[in-house]
Amino acid sequence: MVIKYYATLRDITRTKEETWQSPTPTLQDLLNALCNKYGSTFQKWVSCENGGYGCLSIFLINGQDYRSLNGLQTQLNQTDIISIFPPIAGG
Amino acid sequence: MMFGWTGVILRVNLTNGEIKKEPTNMQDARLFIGARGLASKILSDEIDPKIDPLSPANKLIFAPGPLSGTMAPSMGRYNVVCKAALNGVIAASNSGGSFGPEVKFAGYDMIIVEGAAKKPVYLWIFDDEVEIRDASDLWGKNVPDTTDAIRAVTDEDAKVACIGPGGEKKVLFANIMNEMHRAAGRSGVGAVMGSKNLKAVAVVGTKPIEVADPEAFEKAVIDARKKISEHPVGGTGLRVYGTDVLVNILNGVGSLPTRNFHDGYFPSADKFGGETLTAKYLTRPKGCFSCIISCGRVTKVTNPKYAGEGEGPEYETAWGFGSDCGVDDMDAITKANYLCNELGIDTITCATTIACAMDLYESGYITLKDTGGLAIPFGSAENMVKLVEMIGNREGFGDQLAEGSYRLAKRYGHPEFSMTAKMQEMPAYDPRGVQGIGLHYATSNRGGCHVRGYTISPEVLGVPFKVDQHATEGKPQLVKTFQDLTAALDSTGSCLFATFGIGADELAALLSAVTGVHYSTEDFMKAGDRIWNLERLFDLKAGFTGKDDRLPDRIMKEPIQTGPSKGEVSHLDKMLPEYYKLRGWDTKGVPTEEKLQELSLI
Ligand code: SF4
Repeated sequence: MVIKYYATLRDITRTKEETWQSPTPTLQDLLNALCNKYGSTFQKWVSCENGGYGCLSIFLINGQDYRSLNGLQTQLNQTDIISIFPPIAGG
Repeated sequence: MMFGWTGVILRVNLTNGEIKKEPTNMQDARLFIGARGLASKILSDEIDPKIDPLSPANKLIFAPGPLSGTMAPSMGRYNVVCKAALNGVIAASNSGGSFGPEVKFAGYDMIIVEGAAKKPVYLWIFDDEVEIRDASDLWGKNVPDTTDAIRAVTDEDAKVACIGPGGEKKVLFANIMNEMHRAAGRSGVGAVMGSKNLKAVAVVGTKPIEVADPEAFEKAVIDARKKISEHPVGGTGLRVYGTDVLVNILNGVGSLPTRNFHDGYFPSADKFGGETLTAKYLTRPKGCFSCIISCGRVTKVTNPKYAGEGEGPEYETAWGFGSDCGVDDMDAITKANYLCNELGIDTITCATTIACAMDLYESGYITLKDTGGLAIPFGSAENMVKLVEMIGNREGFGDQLAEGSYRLAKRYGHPEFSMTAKMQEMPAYDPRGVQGIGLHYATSNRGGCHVRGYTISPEVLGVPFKVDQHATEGKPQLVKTFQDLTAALDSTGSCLFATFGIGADELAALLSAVTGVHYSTEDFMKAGDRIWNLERLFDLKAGFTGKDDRLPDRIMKEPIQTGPSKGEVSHLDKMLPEYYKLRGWDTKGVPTEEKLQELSLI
């Protein structure tokens, strides 16, 4: 599985992308593992004030928004590409 | 005493040199707010929508809003309203910086320019003193040189809105640049200015803007500033990365139009995204008047081939000269942006017209003979940059491109290659991958345009809530709400990006406190609906019909080829009838009498 980071998350993780091999069956498991790895600054961007994940950050699984799949319980496969965007906007 | 509005309109007739100051019609001001709304009302009342936009009968209105120049956050915007040179619709082209507030400080709700001068002139305004001055020496100068020259003979702090060679030569998508780097970009308002032989408007204002209820205003300002600065998008995202940060997410969801909309995914997009811009080109962020977001990018290119300094690129520009032209060379993209700003031409229509030419060239409909020997397959960065200069100066093949993609594609017998809605080029969101924005493009009163119904916020970015980008259900209502909100917001003088922190409630509170006229949230949204319908009526009288509420066949019939939105086409036909119904229009897209009565438009 490949994880891609964007905007400020690139600075926090110091990488554009990484290959992920540890078993993380769902998106929620993956985000738990990433928060452990990258600590509280990373967690602040991807989590919600009252717990959980993704109030403003965007998680794409192979280009599909996780909310149009099975949310945080979406099953992940080794061939998946996960893209994580902090809250961004423009016009 | 007047609050928010100054109560004075400056009217300048360039044909006979007459300068008049007139009272603002306050009943109209309440109904249409200011800026885009009020100026559109005046234009609709004063010109025949069927006129040739480049004739002296057209009028050019520089219009800030009642909140412009106040200390409410992000209130540096103004609109240029006229009949559009590019496509003949009603144009309201929005720009930032400090020019709009300065017009207010000089004491005017707007400046109406009519007629046409016999020789080049510029307008010099210092509060009540207004002069039409000779601009023969300025004709031919680019935007920075014009601005410097005018400041040198007027006031070093003068706010200057001017045209470059593009406007002088009536490139149909010429813009008006203020303070060198801020653009009233779309619809060809610069060509209209050029047709009037008006090179520039320079303003210095020293008068205060009176606020009706200072206490309520202070409260509303603190509330709005807090909401914008605490919002992760307004507070940090835009300031750090600028709008170009959108490249990767739009590519990530497969909706980054690529090679003249043949595709929606461009593998090397990251090379011209906001992260790259910030790391390699950004000198500093820059903000418009009273803005706490500062999304502007002051940048520098050091590569000698494309060396330069300036502002940008914004997302739209990076996309247009990037994936839409099949280019991933950020040096070339940024240089193309600088040239557009110097020549005074719209980056979106310029880039997408070049993309259309590349498409026609690859298909064999345009040959080397037509281009004057310039090879322009997709991806030819160097020749793309050359074409920008040729367009701005109407040189060689550039003269044909200066008419926009619609006329270009038609000229070569293939109008289907023009990626336009109502003859204006669509911007940087593929309507096959994001359904709501397609409905907005098709129905926008100024043709292909993203900023008048920016449903990308909920459809892609999840702000303020997330909806499925591929679904059509609920999109007509979403589009209508965004269009009405934006029409009202544009009419206050606010920047659209303020809505990443505040909405109709906060804007209505600010407007009420400043003007002393009570606007409920419903009043505010109704004003937006009214303005939308007013613009629609102008376009209908200009000759457009419901049949023009459409998207190119490529968008309706040819699926996106690769990436996450592979296989998608636009389902506009599923959404349009419901949209008409919600708008109170008949099945042909004409506002019903009841609707017009409800909105006090008849
Ligand atoms: S957000 Fe950007 S465009 Fe809007 S007012 Fe601020 S600096 Fe100007």
